[in-house]
Amino acid sequence: MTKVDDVLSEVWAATSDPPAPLAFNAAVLERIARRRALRDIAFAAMLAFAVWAVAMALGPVLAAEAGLLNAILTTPAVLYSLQIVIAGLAVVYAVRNMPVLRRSVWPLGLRR
Amino acid sequence: MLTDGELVQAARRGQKGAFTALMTRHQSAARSFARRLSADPGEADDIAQDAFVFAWSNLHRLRAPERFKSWLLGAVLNTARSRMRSRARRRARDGAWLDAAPQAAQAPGEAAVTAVQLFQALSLDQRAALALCHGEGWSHAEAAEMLGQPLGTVKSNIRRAKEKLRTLLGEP
Repeated sequence: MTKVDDVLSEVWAATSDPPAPLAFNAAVLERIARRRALRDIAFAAMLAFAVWAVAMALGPVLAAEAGLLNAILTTPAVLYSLQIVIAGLAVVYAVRNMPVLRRSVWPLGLRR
Repeated sequence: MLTDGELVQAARRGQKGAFTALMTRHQSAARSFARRLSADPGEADDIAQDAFVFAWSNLHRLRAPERFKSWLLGAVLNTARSRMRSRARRRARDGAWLDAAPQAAQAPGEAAVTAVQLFQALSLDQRAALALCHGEGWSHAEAAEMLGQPLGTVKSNIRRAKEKLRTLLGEP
């Protein structure tokens, strides 16, 4: 056996089967939960923005050309209410996930 | 007992516990491999965790579910590589004085410190190739596929790694 083989055997022995911390799986699952929460929030925000953009773009057209129903749906009050409801849903979602968010995005770092 | 392929399929369907079972099964291999790539055990565990998160995010892209383990080890290497790159960038940005700072303590036993330090003198690809083929017993072809490198590159990395170790040890 050469010295190189000895060194490699020592390295394998020193690094094989590290003591399994019970927290390892939990830490991975927490990272996954954080990522999932951030992804969901990003998706909700994008969806809300898309709805808002469509409503803003089509609102005046529909109001001008369509009948009473469209006119009601696209009045500023209805549009603002819609935006408020969407924003409210986003806030409710964020609050429900607050324990995860607090650990992940506050203060500033995305990693623990 | 369910195979890796079955567990991957179950995890893709969103079955609770399937991914945790995969983690429990391959945790030791991923962490051992990460420790061979990074001398700092804390960083090695971070790398292994990141690799599992990557695996969870990209499970739908795994073409051969029964080869989850080799795919995961490839993810460990890629994670280690990107961490080392960003560390090198940080060092370049923050100044050379960081190079002189003491390195993280070696966790393995005192007797193994020299061997582990010598091993860390090899390049990342050399360490990965040696760890897979000599440490884990994978064939050169399997390691090449896992590392996403040509077979010849893996073989030459192993040869060069051994030459470098021989030089460091003062062997003829």
